[in-house]
Amino acid sequence: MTDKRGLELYFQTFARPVVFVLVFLGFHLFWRGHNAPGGGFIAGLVVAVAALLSRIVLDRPFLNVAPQRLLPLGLLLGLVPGVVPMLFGEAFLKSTYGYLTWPLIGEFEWASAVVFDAGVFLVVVGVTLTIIELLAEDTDAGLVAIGETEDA
Amino acid sequence: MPRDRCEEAVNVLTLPVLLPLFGGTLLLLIKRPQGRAGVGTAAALLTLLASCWIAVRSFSGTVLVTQLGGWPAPYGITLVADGLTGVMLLLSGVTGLMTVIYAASSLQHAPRRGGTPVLSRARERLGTPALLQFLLMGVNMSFLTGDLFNLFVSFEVMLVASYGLLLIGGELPQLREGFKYVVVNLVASAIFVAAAGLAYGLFGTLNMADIAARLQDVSGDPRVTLIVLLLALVFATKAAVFPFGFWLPYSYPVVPGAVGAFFGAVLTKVGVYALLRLFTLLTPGETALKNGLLILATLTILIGALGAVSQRRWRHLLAFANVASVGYLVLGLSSGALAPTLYYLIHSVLVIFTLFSLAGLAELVAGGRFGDGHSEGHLGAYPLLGAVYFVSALALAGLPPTSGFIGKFALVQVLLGSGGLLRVFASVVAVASGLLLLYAAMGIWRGFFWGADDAVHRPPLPKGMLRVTGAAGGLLVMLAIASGPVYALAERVAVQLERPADYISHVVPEGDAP
Repeated sequence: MTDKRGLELYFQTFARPVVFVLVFLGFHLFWRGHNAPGGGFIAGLVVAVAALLSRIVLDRPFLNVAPQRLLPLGLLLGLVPGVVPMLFGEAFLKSTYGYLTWPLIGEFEWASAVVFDAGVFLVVVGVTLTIIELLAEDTDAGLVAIGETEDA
Repeated sequence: MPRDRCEEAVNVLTLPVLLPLFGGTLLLLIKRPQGRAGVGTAAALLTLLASCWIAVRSFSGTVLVTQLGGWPAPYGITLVADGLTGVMLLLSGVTGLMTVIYAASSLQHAPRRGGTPVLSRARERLGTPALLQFLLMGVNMSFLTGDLFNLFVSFEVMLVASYGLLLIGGELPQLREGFKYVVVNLVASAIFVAAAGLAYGLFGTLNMADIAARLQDVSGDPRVTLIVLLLALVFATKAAVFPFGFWLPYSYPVVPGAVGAFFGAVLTKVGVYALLRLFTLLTPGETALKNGLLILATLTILIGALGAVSQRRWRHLLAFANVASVGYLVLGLSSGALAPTLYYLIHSVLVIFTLFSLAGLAELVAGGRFGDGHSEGHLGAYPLLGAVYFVSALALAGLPPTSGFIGKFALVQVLLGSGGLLRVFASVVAVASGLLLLYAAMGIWRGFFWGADDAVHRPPLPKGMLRVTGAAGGLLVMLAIASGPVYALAERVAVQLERPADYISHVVPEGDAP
């Protein structure tokens, strides 16, 4: 490990701004996704890459919660814009939008579909990080856990 | 214009999909196994109630339609419920509830080490209950959807859940059979997407009713035949029709008992449902294809029955019997005998579920094998199980007075009535295979229930599993007793299927077609 220190220094120095930029890019993609290429799925993937970089290079978890926890939360959040219109007698997933005028920012279009997108975002981040973490676990330990090792 | 059609949206149609999704999501959040059992059962029960509501409404002859997101038919995704959907939802709801209860109850039994795959606590913790809910969601969605691509998505939801259920536990047989299952289904899915793409290119729509409405414009186009052929291939693979069904008989026995029962009873029948839709809605013609499928179905029956005779393990035998059962269904739908097919479909779901849940119990008693002389004579200790087995074995073979006889009789009657050498041959095979299935089922009877009572120790069987098995057997008996009304219902649904114009006009009203 010690001979890799120098290399790691480069990585760590560069990783910090890259993680920052990736997260920013992710949220930008999420934001523009309503009418332009982007959206919750691709933003989730980008943020997952940022989290992965933070996890591998900086060796510190990006999130305080276990990524598996994000799955049900994202699914529930995704259900909200589907079910709420039904409570008002509208069709499932019927989306609505409107305009708000905020001081300084000016006119601003909101859409209820963004909640669904946020759910997708959480699910994608959760799934990607869960898969990577499971793959990154000690393989032999995993095999012993399911009782499939022949010998050492 | 789209406004007034939004008003008549029947939002209940989304519930058989949403409730399992919501239930499965909650199950991921709950930490205690007892809590998971309760929530899972509640979700399955609510799903069944919603399915019942839809089924009762649809049996009166109306076609219920809801446009998701309020987007009108050819552009958005439509959920449609006609009589066939009602029947299927009812079946999946009932078996889904029974599966969830059976699975939760089988946890009370401490799993034996290795050997038979019962649902162990470790597997339960890894998410089997949640995956069961997602499976139910995919199954219900495929029955409800009126959109070809959404049908593909439902198949994928179903498949991904079933991959998980098949592989959780990671034992060697699971990995071996899971590999085959995943590869076959991936290939089938790829073909499905390709066929959907071709259909979109040709028709400019993926809404099944809209495609059906545009079929006249392209009649005689060989591309239609190609698309139908590809779709039939995919659905036949899902339904395990010979020769695409080689993945089934050895993969169903490796999943936990309850899951295996649901796989056998419902999952295979999703393919049959899709074939029924394909042949009634999208291809009223195509006689050559139907005759080809009829030959394959006959071979499927034969392979299933012969395979069942050759097996010496409970669930392997039943998996082959399930293949034969699918053969009867495909034989019925490809020869145009829709009402017998529908009746036999109900029968097949119930009988396969009953037998698989019996197999789960038998594995607790004596392991998965039978007739090897180690453990027999269980009739004295479990007389009720013996009775349920006796009835369901007769039903499987198709002997009177069970529902299997009524279904097969109606089927053979239609086959012989329509004449032709092919159909006469098919009906001979159908009857002869019934005898083979009887012989196979007798093997279990002789090797497990009959004989001298020599078992020293019998484990206590979980009450929930026993009740579910008894209830499934009871439903099977009810199906025979109430065969008059049920068959009348099947005939009504068949008439509705034979007139797709009604379905089409409900989904895409005349004036709307661009």
